[in-house]
Amino acid sequence: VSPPSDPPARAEERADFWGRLVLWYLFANAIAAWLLALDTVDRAGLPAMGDLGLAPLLPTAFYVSLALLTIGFAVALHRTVLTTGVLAAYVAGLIVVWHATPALLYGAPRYPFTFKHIGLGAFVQDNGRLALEYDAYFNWPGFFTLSALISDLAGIDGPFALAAWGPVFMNVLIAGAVLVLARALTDDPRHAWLAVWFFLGTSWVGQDYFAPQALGFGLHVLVLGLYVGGFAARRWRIAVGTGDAHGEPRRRATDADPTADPAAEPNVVSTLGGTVHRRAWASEPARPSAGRRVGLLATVLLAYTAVVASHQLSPFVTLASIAALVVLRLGRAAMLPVAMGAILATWFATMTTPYLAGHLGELLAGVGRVFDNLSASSRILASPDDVVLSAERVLVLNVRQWLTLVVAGLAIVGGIRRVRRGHVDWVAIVLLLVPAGMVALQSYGGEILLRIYLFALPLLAWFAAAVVYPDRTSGRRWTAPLVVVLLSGSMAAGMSFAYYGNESMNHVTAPEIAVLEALYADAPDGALVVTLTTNAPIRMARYTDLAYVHLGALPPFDDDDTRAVADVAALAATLAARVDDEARPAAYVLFTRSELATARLFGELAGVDLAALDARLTASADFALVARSDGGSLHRWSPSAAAP
Amino acid sequence: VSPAVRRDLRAGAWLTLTLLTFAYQLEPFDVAAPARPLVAVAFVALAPGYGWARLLAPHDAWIRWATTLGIGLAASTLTAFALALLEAWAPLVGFALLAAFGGVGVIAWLVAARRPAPAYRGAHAAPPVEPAAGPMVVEPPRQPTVGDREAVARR
Repeated sequence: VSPPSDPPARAEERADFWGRLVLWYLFANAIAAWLLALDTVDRAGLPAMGDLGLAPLLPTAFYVSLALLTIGFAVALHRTVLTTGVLAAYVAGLIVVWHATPALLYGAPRYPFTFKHIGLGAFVQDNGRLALEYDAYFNWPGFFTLSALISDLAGIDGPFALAAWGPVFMNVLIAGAVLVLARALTDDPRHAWLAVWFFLGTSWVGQDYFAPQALGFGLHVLVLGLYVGGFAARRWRIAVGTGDAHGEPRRRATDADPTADPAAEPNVVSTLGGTVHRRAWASEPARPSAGRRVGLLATVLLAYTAVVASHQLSPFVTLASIAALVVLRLGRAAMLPVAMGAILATWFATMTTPYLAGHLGELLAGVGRVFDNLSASSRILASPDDVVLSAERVLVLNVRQWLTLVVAGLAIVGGIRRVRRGHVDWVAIVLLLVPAGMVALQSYGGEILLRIYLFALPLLAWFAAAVVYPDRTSGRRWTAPLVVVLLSGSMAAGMSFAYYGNESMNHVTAPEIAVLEALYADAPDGALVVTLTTNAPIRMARYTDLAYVHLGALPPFDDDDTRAVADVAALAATLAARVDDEARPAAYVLFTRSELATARLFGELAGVDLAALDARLTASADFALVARSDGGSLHRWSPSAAAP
Repeated sequence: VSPAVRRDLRAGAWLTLTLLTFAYQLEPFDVAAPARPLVAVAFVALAPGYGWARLLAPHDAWIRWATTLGIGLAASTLTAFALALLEAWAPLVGFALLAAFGGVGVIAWLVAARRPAPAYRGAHAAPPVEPAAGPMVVEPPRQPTVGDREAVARR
């Protein structure tokens, strides 16, 4: 220990102090630039944003803020003394800039589906119970009960106010979990923090909002991190040799004796011509104490149970990941996947029977149909052949593909660099590959590719970070921060279009919410509500009181040939039949701005002029206009109005 | 500030957050105070897992915070789910259960912190330098230039 009067130590402390001061100054400037950007955005023009989304509407100061954060983070990583508090501040800054910007600009929750989640939380808060028989959401209600509890403790009526900040909070949870996992996979803190940075810079799939999948994903990554940290082989190293009769590696006569001098460790790259052997637990650190192992297992099971209670898909990936590590002898605690499987089976046997009774065939239909599942997911990543999309939309889709390919390519390069340094990260490789197996199960509503990318992304980002910091001895030259800045800058450029590219439909405006409130005020219990698409901002209130169907599921709009010539009379006739069959007291047709954007972005209801349909409904004697605003309109149909 | 005082301050912060959340549930404070949602979110996210996370990851601050958040949200999710499933919805009961769970964790952490340090300091601590397990496997020499602030302090 250096005494305080030790001049080199004091000089080091002084340099550390000034270095930190500069980094904090840079950070303050980044936040100031971001605040300036928020102040100069034309908020009145946001509802009219085009198919490129939010990115073109953000002022230069926003991108200056991102640039300052990137430069500061790269410099902070490169410092001789790593100050994790500064790194954490920059990561928090990046989360705020990416995810608090829409929250502050919109003043309302993003994503139409958020409104359904708000309604589920409000239902639990109002009724203090679950409606297990109503729909699948109540069979995995963990997240909604959590939002209800927080709302009650916060003294607010429903989680509407919480939902706007959901993306910020969820990204804090997810980034922390990625750090736990990344740190468990490497002993180099720079590598782990850069993995978190790259993760945030490439997480464009938008599954980080006020939703059960965000909570499930965050806890899933945390479970993996805790398990790998406590029970998995920390590192696997290549042992080079031809092997003996028992498969044990045997050192070549030409290799230096590494035990004689650790610094003389042979460069395994130059000797890769021989058979590569692995030795389990070869470089494993000492095991945690028995008490801590029990604590880690209990925490893993606690978090896993919360994942099971909250989301359908995530617990399967968690279980498969840990089971794969155990089966491949890359991790201990062999009974853990058994216990996790028991929790999952118990949940399905007790909580999900109402849902499974009606949907088991549907759930199992995609099992083994890999290509069908891939095909169903391709619409989200690529322009479909059967619809014409705008050039801006095609650009957004292309940017998403390129960003995905870039991070995958970087991961491959990073993995190669690790191997060249003598590390073969089998634990990380297995965790990276397991999510891909989901494609053999089902299409998950056409989102399976997105989910696979999301579940693989923490590992992709970890390998990508190895491009700069493949091990502790690397990344000391001045080129390292430059590479970090260039890669992060490229990711930020892509992210601004890939992540914000759907904002025209994700932005639910105040006038839209006013139309929705008019619906909840006017509609009697049991009324049927026709939405334009499946992505409607509905069910914010009176979750179980109203029934919903989207226009594309109703004749004549459900057929490509008859859709284009469908008129108001045909829609009225369909509603009459439906109301009669289901004994509905009333029916409504809902138009919202975000649904029109959804139809445009995804090519839904192609051939139907929705604006003209809205006008014809307004003029029709079969429908009465209940509400109209800049955000949409609500038309009521009633049997008396339609009667001849 | 000595580690013991820091520990006491942290335990005091936990207690303050818990009591503040409880105070907001009482009738005189049952109003839409601007700070109340922030306090509620902070309680649910941090209070249940604060002590437990310090037991699990005692030497890495940011992993400790991430674990705190995960344990807090998991415990709160399961507590709220149990209350709704049993049709025994009562926010005060939920608060009491979470406070008790978190309180046990804080007490366990305080008790453990007063014991002599174990030889191995946690699953997420930097692994100790160890002898090679075999002739082909060697740990690279630790680089003194990379480390966190605690490493600097130790030097």
